Amino acid sequence: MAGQRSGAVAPCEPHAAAAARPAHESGRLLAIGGRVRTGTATRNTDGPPSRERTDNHIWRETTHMYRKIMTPVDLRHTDQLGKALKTAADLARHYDATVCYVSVAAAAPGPVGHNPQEFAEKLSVFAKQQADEHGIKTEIHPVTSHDPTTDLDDALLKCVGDIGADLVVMASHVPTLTDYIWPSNGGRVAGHAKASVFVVRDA
Amino acid sequence: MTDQATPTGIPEPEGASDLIDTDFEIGQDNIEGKLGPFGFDIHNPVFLISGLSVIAFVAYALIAPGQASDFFGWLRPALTSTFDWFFLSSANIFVIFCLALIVSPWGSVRLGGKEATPDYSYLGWFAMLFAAGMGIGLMFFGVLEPAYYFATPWGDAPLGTVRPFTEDGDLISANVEQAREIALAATSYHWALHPWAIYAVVALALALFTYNKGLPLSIRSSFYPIFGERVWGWTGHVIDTLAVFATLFGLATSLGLGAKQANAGMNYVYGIPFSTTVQVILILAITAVALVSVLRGLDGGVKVLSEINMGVAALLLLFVLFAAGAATILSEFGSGLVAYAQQLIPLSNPFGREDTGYMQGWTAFYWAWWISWSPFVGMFIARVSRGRTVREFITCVLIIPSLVCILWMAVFGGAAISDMIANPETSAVKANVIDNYSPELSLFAMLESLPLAAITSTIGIVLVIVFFVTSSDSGSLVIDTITAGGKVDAPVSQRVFWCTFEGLVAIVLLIGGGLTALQAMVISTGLPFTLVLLLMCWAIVRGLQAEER
Repeated sequence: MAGQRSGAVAPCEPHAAAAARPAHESGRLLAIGGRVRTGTATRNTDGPPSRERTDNHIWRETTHMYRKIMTPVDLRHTDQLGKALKTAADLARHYDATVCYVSVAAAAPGPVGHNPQEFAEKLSVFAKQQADEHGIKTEIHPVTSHDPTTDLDDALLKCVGDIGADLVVMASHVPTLTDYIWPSNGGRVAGHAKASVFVVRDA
Repeated sequence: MTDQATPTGIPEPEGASDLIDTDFEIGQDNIEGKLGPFGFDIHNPVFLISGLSVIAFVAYALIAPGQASDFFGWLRPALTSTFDWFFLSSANIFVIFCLALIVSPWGSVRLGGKEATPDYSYLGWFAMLFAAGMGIGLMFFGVLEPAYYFATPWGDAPLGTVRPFTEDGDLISANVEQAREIALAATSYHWALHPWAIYAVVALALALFTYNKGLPLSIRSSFYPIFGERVWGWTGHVIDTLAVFATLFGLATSLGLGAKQANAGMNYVYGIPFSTTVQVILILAITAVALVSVLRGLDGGVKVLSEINMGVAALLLLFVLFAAGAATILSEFGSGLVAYAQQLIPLSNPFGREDTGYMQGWTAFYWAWWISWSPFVGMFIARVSRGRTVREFITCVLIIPSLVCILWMAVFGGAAISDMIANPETSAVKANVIDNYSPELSLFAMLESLPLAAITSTIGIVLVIVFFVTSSDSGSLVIDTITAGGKVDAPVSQRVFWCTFEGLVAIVLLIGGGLTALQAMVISTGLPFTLVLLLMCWAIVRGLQAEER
């Protein structure tokens, strides 16, 4: 995919660099400058460039601007995640992306599962519900941590790379004074993740 | 939604396992909310009762110090003297029970289900269980105990063995060898199989009922086979509250007394004044480092600190080993091991003993002490032991730590005894243990007899302090989990609260008095807990019977 695109835009110097980037990143670059490069993009096609063909191309590139959206969920508090879940679903529909629900729990029994298998099962049921409700493609990525209280941020940051997410949509509270010393999970993920992060405020 | 996913509440763990079918949902009794900017998720009523009863007992010790001191000062020795046979017999049962589990077919049951994989490497696992359970004691008693047994003139020699010194302090060469052998064997007896079997029983019961049966990680869970559904009610609340109470006071009083010991060491080595101010600063420093550790979590804080601790302790051990003569000490380890094996049965015999000074004053005291610490250490070991088989678990919690402890005692105790034999007139160990009983100085006195004393003493002080940190941080995690109804992912502010609370209790008792009285109270809880542990053995058998091997 990246090869096809870079071939199509070869004359544009900035995009030679894009060819070396991962598929999703070069896709993003193309999409941003898509309209400018329409002439180039259609150069290799047979026949004269048509308006319809060009728009289709833009549509396709824009559609795939994000391919995998990571959405961290706490299965105990899904009621508080409504806005973030809906945002993720809307974006997924718009960009034809897959939403990967990520959740972190301990191996010891807890309210979200008495063991890692039950925890994964519950996350899977949740993902299926979201898929049915919003008409989107969903995946799950359950993570077991020795000490979720303190390891949550690092575990989430690792997940971004592990699942190859290009956008993170996560809920977070409105920052208060405490956030200066004790940043929220959303704040820390936004501060350190390599992917784009959409922090959805609960108010 | 969640109920639809798992109608029974508890599905299969990894691989085959026998599950307990209960309607109890973990966290169902918890209160969640926010206090200002801090979230909380606490068990109702264990959190509140534990916290308030700790405050009440601290207040009692401060308001009526004389009465508290008299009462607990009487209670603890009264219990260990009256029930010495019970403590000794029970500890023997725990050792036999654990050894039998290793060779039994149940040894192949895996904690966490048949296909579970270990959470931690051997090194990290071993470092954590050692640092939480025993590290600080090794620093304090490693020299004191062997030296004391070797030369005690107060009639509490183990097995009434011969004395190596006359009343005037002259060496009786003929008695030296036997006294040395019994001293090392008697020390190893208190630090090897028996204490680790006590920890292993509690840890195995908790790990089994948590990881294989799906019950919350809390002391009450191991009583499910005995009390059934009642463990989720007041019976369980009382068990968990007692465990929190014993753990918090055990840690706080040790922290207070430990600060005094560290201060005494600093006074001896550097001439830093022995004062309450220095001790309060020490407690604050230990608590601050423990806070950083709990905030960094199990992997980033507790485990890292435990590994550093073990590394430094190993270096100190190697230094003493070579400085005091590796060949002699290692042969001492060999003969210590043989002596331990030979004397184990007479030392652990609970009936018809004549050396009651040793048996009641030391052995029964130790057993009560280990047992009162067992809810804390056992629960911490359980938390980090998922994925091991029962056989692996017992071998690593019982056999390997026992060998390490015997080696430690042979090296530190052996070096101290050699110094007492070589220089009966000038030995600093003899001066601080026998001639003038200052137990907190024994380690530094021994290091003084070796080269580079200034450096090794500093390492010794640092180790004492860091071992307190590793007990304090793991203890705070344990208390946090119990008071959150077995949840290991309660808000971080809760572990900060318990860690700080523990430091505050230590400071208040240090300034107001009452450390010794309340420590005696904690050790007294060893008696009821001994019964609890015996019941746990039965619960383990019941639990293992139903597991697939």
